[in-house]
Parts: sequence; C-alpha cells; structure tokens
Amino acid sequence: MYPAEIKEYHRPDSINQVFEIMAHHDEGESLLLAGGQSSMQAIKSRMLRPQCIIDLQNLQELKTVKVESGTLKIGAMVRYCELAKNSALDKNFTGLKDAATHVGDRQVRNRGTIGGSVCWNYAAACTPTAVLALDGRMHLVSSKGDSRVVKADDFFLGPLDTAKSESDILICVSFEQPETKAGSAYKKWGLVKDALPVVGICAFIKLDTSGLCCEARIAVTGMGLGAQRATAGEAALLSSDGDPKSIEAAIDGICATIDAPTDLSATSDYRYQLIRNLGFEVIQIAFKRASI
Amino acid sequence: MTSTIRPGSVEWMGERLARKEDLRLVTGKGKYLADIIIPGALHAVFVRSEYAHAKILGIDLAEAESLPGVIAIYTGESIKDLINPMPQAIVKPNLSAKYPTFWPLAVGKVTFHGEPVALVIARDKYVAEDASELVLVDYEELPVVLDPEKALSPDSLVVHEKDGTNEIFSMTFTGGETEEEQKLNEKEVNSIFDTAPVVVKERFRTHRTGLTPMEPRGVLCDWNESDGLTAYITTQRPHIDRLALSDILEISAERVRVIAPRDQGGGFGVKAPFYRENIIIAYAAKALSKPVRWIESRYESLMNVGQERDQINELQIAADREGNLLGLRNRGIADNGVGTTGVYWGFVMPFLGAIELPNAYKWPKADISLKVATTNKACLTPSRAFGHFPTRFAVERCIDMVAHKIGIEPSDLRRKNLVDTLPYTSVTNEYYDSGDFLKVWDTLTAKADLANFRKTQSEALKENRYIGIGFGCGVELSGVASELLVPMENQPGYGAATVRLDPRGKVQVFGGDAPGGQGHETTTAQVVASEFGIDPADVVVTTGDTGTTPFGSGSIGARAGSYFVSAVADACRELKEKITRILAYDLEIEARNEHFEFIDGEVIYIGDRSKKSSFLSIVERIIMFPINLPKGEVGGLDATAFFEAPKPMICFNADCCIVEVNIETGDFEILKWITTEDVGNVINPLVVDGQMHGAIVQGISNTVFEEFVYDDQGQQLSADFENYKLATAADVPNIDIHYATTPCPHTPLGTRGIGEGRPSSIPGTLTNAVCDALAPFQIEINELPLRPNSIWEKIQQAKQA
Amino acid sequence: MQIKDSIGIEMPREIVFSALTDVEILEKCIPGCESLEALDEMKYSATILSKIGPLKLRFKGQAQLSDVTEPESYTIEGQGSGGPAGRAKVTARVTLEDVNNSTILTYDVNAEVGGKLAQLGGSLIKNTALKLATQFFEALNESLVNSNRKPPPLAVPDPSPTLSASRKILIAGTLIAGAIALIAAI
Repeated sequence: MYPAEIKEYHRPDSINQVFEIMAHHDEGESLLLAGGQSSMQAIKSRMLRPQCIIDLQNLQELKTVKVESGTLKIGAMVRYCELAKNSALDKNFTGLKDAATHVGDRQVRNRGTIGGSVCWNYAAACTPTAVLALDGRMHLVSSKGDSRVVKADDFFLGPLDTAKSESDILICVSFEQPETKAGSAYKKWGLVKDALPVVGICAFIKLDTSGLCCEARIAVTGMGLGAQRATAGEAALLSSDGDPKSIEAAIDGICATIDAPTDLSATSDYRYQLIRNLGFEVIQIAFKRASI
Repeated sequence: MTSTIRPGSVEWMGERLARKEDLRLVTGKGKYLADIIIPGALHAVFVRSEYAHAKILGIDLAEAESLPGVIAIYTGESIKDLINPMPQAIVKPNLSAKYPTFWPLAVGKVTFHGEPVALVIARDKYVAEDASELVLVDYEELPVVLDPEKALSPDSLVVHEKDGTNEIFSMTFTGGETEEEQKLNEKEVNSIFDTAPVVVKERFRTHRTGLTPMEPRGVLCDWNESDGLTAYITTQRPHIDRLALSDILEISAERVRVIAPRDQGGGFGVKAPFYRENIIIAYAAKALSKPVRWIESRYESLMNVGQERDQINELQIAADREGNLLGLRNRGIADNGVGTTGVYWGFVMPFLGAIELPNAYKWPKADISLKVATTNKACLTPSRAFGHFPTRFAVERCIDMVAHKIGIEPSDLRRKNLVDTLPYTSVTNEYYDSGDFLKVWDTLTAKADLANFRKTQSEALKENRYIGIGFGCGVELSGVASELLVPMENQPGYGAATVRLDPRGKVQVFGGDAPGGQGHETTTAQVVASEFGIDPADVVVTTGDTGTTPFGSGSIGARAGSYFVSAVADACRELKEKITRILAYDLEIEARNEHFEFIDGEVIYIGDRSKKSSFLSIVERIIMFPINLPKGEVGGLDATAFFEAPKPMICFNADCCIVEVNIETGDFEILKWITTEDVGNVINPLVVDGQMHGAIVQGISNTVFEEFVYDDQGQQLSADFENYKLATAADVPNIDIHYATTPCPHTPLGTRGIGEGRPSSIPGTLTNAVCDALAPFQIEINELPLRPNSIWEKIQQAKQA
Repeated sequence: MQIKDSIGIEMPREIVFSALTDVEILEKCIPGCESLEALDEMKYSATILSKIGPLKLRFKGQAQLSDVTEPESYTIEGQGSGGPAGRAKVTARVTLEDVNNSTILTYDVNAEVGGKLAQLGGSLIKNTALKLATQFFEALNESLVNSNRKPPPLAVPDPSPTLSASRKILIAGTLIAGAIALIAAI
C-alpha cells in the first residue's frame, strides 16, 4: 500500500525549527515522526494522511537520559533498546525496562521511542502502561511557546487518545526519584513472543522505612482501552509487606473493577486469569525489588 | 578455462554444501519480480470488494478516470465480452464438480471480501492507488453464507446461482467406482463398527490457516506485436500459466512466454494456482500496448490467498482390545470459500486430504467421504501439506484416543498398525511404492526413550508439573505421478530436464518448474557435479522460463527431489554414454560406459588408469571438433530427459515431541522435538534439514498461532500480521533430525522428493503431547488452533466436572 | 457489535425530545458534524468528521426513521461510508423515560462495521463510539442547561399538528438519532 500524497518532508535540527514548519500548516496537518513503528504503518495504509512529515531524528535535545535534582528525565526520542540497557532505570523504574526490553522485536526496539509510544497510546501497549504505573510526567511545549507538564493519570485518555494537542511537542518523560525504597515490574502475555499485550500489567511499590508499602500504583493494558490505572487494587497493598494474602486482595480488587473484554485474542475469563497470574508475579517482584 | 577442482572431494551426493543461492539472497542481490524493470511500465492497483456478498449496481469511474496520470480503468462489465471466462480446460481438473463461471473482475456481484472489482492502470503506483480510492462502487448487500455445514443444507442461499448448489464437490473415496459398490462397502464398514469391541467417534475441526510466503504475488506483462506476450509471474507453474494465458486471451501459444523470476520469496503452494490477476494484467498490457506491473501488498495477500485447511472431519475408528485397527470411517466437510481460482478451485486440496486420510496405517476397511461447501470467503489456496493437514490431525488424534480407551501406549498402537510391507496400496487406492516405515518408527522411538520419559513424567507430576509426550507420522507424496496428476489436475507428472555441456566444460541445466527458494540450483548442481566428476560451481541452472526450458507441471508436490533431479541424472547419463563411446573410440579401446569413471574433472578408463582424458578436452572435442568420430556419431552434447516412475512414490516421516503445560494459564512450551525421516538418498543434508525445520515450524505456527478470521458479515479480520500471527524464532524449539533412509528403488539416484506434505503430522503430534500432559484431567483436544486460552478453559471444565 | 447505554438529562422528556429534533442544536452537539441536509421528507444526510486519536475519518451518512412513539421512542437506521476507510451500518432504538421531570435516555445500538474499519479492532471502535456518544450527550445537556429553555406548561398537545410539521420533527429526530447511531458505530 502506498501513502497518500505527502507534500513536504523536513528533518529539522531544533525544536524551534519544528514549530516554524508547523506554523506553515493547519493544525493536525503535520506529523511528528519519532520511531515511526506505528505511524509508518498508519501512513502506508492511508489511515493517516499527513500533508507534512517532520522527522525528529536530528533533535539531539530529545535524545538524552539524565537525572536532574532527583528527577529522571528521558528524552522523547530515546529508543526502546537504549531504555533496555540504561542503568538509570535500574533502581526504581525497572518496570519500564521490563516493558522496553520486550516490545515487538529487535528491529522495533532499535527504532521505536518512548515518546512515540506514549503519544500514540495504542489500545494495547507496554510502554504507556509502565509510564502510567511509574507516575511519569509528560513535558510538553506548544507552538505558542508555553510549556506544561501533564501527569500520566491525566495524559492517557483512551486508546489513541492523549492530552497532547496537535500543536504540542513532547520533550521528555520524567519520573520523580522516590525518597524511600521503591521497586517496579512489568509483565505481559501475548500469543507470540513479545507480541502486543493481550494482558499487560505494571506495578510500582514504594516502601516506608519499616519496609511496608506506603504507596502502590498499578496499571494494566490489553482491555482495549490503552493504559488504565487499577486503583481498586492498590489500596489492598498499603501497609503490607507484599504478603500473598494482600496481593490476592489487590488482584481481587483489580478484577472487580477492570472490564476485561472478549475479542479475537482472548476471552474475558482468560484475561482475568492472566491478570491474576501475571499480576501476582508482577506485584511480588516489585516488592522484592523495592526491598533491595 | 579449466574446471575448478576440489582435490579429493568428489562425492557431491550427500555433501553439506553451502547453497549457491544464499550469498545473493542475504546480501540484497536477489532478483525478484519487483526487481525486474521494464522502462515505461505502467502500474496497476486493484479495487477490491468491501463486501462478502453483494450485487454491483453500478461503478462510477468519472472521478477516478479524470485523475492526471490514470491511463485506463477496467471493470467486469468492460471486459466480460473481451476475455474468455473461466473455467478453461487447461486449468480445470478431470474431476466431476461444479466449476463456477467467472472473469478476473467481478461481474454482476461480488462473492467475497477482497474480490477484484476494478483495475486501475496509471503512470505510477501512487496515482494508481489514489485513483483506486476514487472508484465508486454501488453495492446492494446480500445475505452471507459462511458456515460450510449450513451452506450444504438445501435451503441455504446459493452463492453461485447458476450451479444451483453450494456443494461444489463431493466424493466417496472407498469401496469402488459405482454407487452400488460404495453402498456395499458402507454396509460392511457399518457392521465392523457395530461389532467392534472398541469404537471412538469424534468431530475434529481444523481452522482456516495456511501459508504466507515472504514475498507476495506479482505480475509484470509486456506485449508487442512481434514477440507477443511476455509475462513475468510469481508462479510455481510457468508452463501451465502460459497455456492458460494463451487459451483465455486467445493469443497463439508460440507468442506467449511466461517467466518465473529466478528468485522467489517462497511459494509453498500459494503461487501454484492460476490467478485472476495474471489474466487481467496480461490483458491490460496487450490492450494498452504498454508493460503493466502489479505488485501485491501484504494486505491483499492475506485477504485473497494462503487460506487453506478449514475442514471438519467426523472421524470414527474401530479396533479390538489388543489395539489392532479394524475400520475407519470419515465424513469430511471442507469450507472452500468461493472456489473461483484456477487449477485447484479450492476443492482439490480436501480431495487429496481425504485420499491421504489413511496415513501409514493398515486399515482392513474404510468408508471415507467428503463434501466441499462454497461460502462467501476467499477461495482455498494450496498450502504446504496440501489438503491433509486437517485429516492428519484427525487421524493422529483419534488414534491416541483409541489407545487411551484401550489402555495402551499410543506409540505402541501405531507401531502395531504401521504398514510393514511395501509396496502397499491404501484403502483409498493411494500407492506407497517403497520405504521401511518400521525402521523409521523404531529409530524415532529409540531416540524418544518412552519408558524413561514416563518415569520423568510421574516424578514431575508429584511436583505439580505437567509434561507430556506426543507422537505422529506422515506418508507424504514424493512427486505427483501422471497417474494421479492427470485426473487430479489435467496435467502430466513427469520430470523433465535439459542438460547442456559447453566447450569450456561447464554445464547448463534447464528445468521448467520454478522454485521458490528450496535450493534447486544447489542440489541440481550437486547431482550434475557428481555425475560428471566436476565442481558444482561449474553448473548453472535455469528454471521457470517457458521460452528456454522443457515442459514441467511446476514446483509442486515435492517434484524436485523425485522427478526433476531424476530427469537431470538421466540426461547426464545419456551424455556420459556418448562421451565414453567417443572417448573409447579416441583411445582405441574396446570399452563400455561402465568401464569409465568420471572423477576430479577427468574421464578415466578403469582397466588402465593411464588411459583417460580431462573432462574439458573430451567435451570440447565432441562439441567443437566433431571430426574422426565413430560411425553414426555426430557432435554436440545436449540431452533432454523425461522421467516418470512406474508408480507414484512416497516418503515417510515420524515425529515425537515433549511439552510442558502450565495449568494456571494453559501456556505450553515445547521442550523437545525429535523427528526421523526417510527421504531416500540425500543430495544435500543442509537443504533437507532446512526443509524439515521449515516444515515443522510452519506446522507449529499453523497449529498454534495462525488463523484467518471472518466475522458474521464475512468481513475478513486478519489482513495484517498484527492479527494473523506468525511464529517467531523465539516461539519454536530446536529440532532434532534423524535419518532412517531406504533409498528409493525407482529413481536413478535413490532420492525421494520431500518437504511438501511435511507439516501435516505436526498438529497431531503437538496436540497429542499436550493431551498427554493433561492426562490427569482426561482432556482430549479436538479443535484447532491449539491455544493456551482454550487449553485453560478445558482444564477449568475438567476441574469442575 | 452491541452498544447499550443510558444517560440522564435534567430536563423533562418533551424538552429533550424537542431538542433532539432541533436541527440547529444537533448540528452543534454532534461531534465533528460538518453538515446536515434533508434529501427528502424521510431521509437525511450528514457529513461527520470523526477523530479516533490521530486518525481523522470523514463519514457521509444517511438516516431513516421508523417505529415512532412521540415523545417516548423511535428506531433509526443509518448507513455511513468513510470511503476507503470502510463503512458502518447502524440500527438504534432510542427510548426516553420520564423520571421526576427528568429524562433517562437509553440508546440500544446494533452496529456493523465493514472494510478497513472492521479490521481496526472492535474494542477501539466501540470505545470511540461510546466516547463520541458521551460527548454528544454532554454537549446536549449543557446546551439545554445553558439555554433559556423552561419546561413547557403542561398543556394538551395539539391533537392534529400539520403532517409536514410533525414529520419534520420526526425526520430531524431521525436524522439526529441516526447520526448518533452512526457516530456510535464510528
């Protein structure tokens, strides 16, 4: 399948240049190209018909991973393969590493980016789920010059739907380094190895000084709605040390409130079973990682 | 100038030679259809039906035609009086069936989601696709026929009205030719089942799945008044395509040339039919007097081709308490889709599947019948394990169930009933020419070490781990003899090869069948090198060009290792006879062909090894300096040989796999896969191993991952690889291959054709292993795909019971 | 696919029904509605630009009413084509229940999608449909609340309204409900 006519292609060197180009087109007519692993498919199948492609490959300022006064900032153009081996994620944010290490396949991981993934927010995707569980913050700059930071809870609105507007660029995704011990984990189930998640679940656990859970965030995907918080499960983990009973209670809470559909990939019952199975493991591992 | 000799390495038969094709293929230098450039070629894009079943009320081309760069747009209406419709004799089997009339573009109505409705020709591919979006088709939806059993009921809506029925084909395969004989057979089988101590009846369902070649289809046609039509087609059967194009477009055959590109990214049967696209692209090239090029997209490919299997088999086995098989009964129903594809019409696959149902076992009596139903889905296209993937699944599963009922090991029951004396004729009249099934089986079971496994299994169960072992086997076609191919497809089965020596001692081989990457260039070169005592590097193979190669029915049914290389060997031997006659004459000795050895680039008289010639000089002498020849002899070294075995031939394989099932999620992991093969004499173990690996992986992928899904409106939902899932390297196990060879007595090299039917034993073997692991739950799985979701559900059901 | 949902509107159902038949209000409230026009008395057409995330699909649709019981319920059937992106066919039953001078509006939709849309995945489509329907009703609700509409006096309805007038209302209502159903299917 061949794309509909694309009038312009640009590969700017700075964010200002990006905005200059965008200014010449109506809102929504230019497409920001990050890794292209999702958007190129959509362009080839003509579901997307951008008039102008603005290729972000040269924007060095979007490619860095750094820690700035207790905040881990991952540039929007950082690729999955880089996340998969970056030690900055090791202490608290291993869940993101788990997710990035198993997206698609090697070729996808060499090109796909964290920014592209969160902005696309596909109906079933690993990275947005990890970012949501880890309380990531999306740093946006608009063509009008104003910048804002949107918390993950407010950013992911539904499948293919985010709080980023067509005049924004995502600069980076940031994570606050927890003051206390913390750990996270992500697991998914797909029919084929490293496939799109039929069920994906990420848990982020913070422990207080006595080793008990003081904050829990759980996110799931695979229900057709993109990344979703499973707050109903989180409460059961508070003040626990990750004992099996508390985890079971958390899973019960998730299953009671998350709507698992039946579709071509799996039945509803099976999805719940996977939530139980993977959810238990993921929460357990998160606790374990937190306690180290 | 001289042949490159590899000192000491003269036995090319059996040599694990790296393939000659591979360097160019892995470095991006392959020449596929899409790489062929004809300057000035126009590009074609099809408009395809969005409905599974609908009347075409009208097609508005005004906007599309007015787009700059659009050259022409064809619709069914515009071509139906200019192109002969199908069916055409050349691509129609000699089987009694309904053959719906159809043109390359839909006329009057569309019958499946994806059917070609219009063809846009434009100066480039982008404009062509832009224009295709502007073609407005006015449809009136019709109810859809999707369930094959419902389709066969008398009150069903009929898809092809003129045929009056959705039953495109039906046949009884046992009992004899006449209805009377068949009824008598049915009665006898009934009485066996009525009295047998052990009877198992089950309904087996295999989903719609098949093969997806890495390279989709393409057609590039060029027409000019002096040469006629040249058609480059991604095809396994150029010689058949040529005749079909000639007949349908009424271009005299000497002015039609079909060329299959030297490199093709896989065929696997999908490129064996004669497709609508071939016809209309060729027509357009002729009508416009300009080259026309069509490259299929993956989306189109998944919508239109590669769909096979899709059968229900209501199978019954009767046995005694010792495990002797007494009778087999099967009612097969196949979901054919619309059936409108040339050569196979969809139903030839289940036809062969029913014939191959008996597999390698001795059945005293059987009653096997088949009905094939037309539905509003894409027509079935041949896929490796042609038609018998579902019937093999049914038989191999049912045999396990019989063993479970009796209380004996399934592998013992198999061994007890394997055909032990060959040649053998099956209950469906399939001829098994040679082989030693028991030898293959015993080699497998020795490697499998069942006794030890059962110990390991019960230990594992104590630790709440569920492991299982499964067995299966398959008798596969080794080439397709004329005896079978003439009735089945109206085509000959012989292999044909031209071997041409040149004055530099190099050899050119010409074969009419077009390979899809099986390594024919290499194996053919090895055969020739072995015959002439030269190096495979000195042998060049040309395939698939009807202008330069002898007639071949195509790369189908494992013809290469059985028929084609046999013809190559025969042609080489004919030339060797001539060479030795003339050499003996030149050396002034009384000697016959068998007194000479072709080795290391020389032709040596065994009686006195000082009397010899280099291969190069004798060849040069015969071709370039044909004077002082023996009486009656003329110069030149060129031979064409045709090979037909006296009877159809087979090969045989047996599989064993060990799995572990996670009962919490139904996930399973294949821990081990062992296979033993009788592939006859092996030309190149690397190539044969590759065939086996590929077949087993494709079998696993079909069994577990791949499924073509249609919704209740006939919309095909699996037209991309996100939905139609293929196994990756990480999803399949290492495969342990062993050979238990019986050379084929009917081929000059003792080789067998292999690889085509190979995936058929996979679904049974794998499902048997999973059921064995779940034996504590007494779970029998009889439906594919085999997925964790459904395994888990069965475990839940068993727990509740 | 089946979509069933109910929404509460703090207005009596006569007002809601009337709003549902007010072409101007509806053109404003239907997300992405670019145009509404009457082809004839029973058939209307609309062009709607739907957004599914970054995907923008322009649908041309028609709607037709049947089985009307004013101000309680009606059935509408709509078809829409998104060109090469695919199509949707929708049948919806809309019922208005009077609860303490407020309205519970229930829509029960049966939608079929075809072409590329069918291949996009049921969850995505269903989710978008629900989202758009919610957007529509929120907009409708807000429009009613913000307008100066007062509940009408409890008068006896005109026993014999002119045929064309009532039909016009019904058609508009049809069209609206059809468009809703179309959106719901999109």
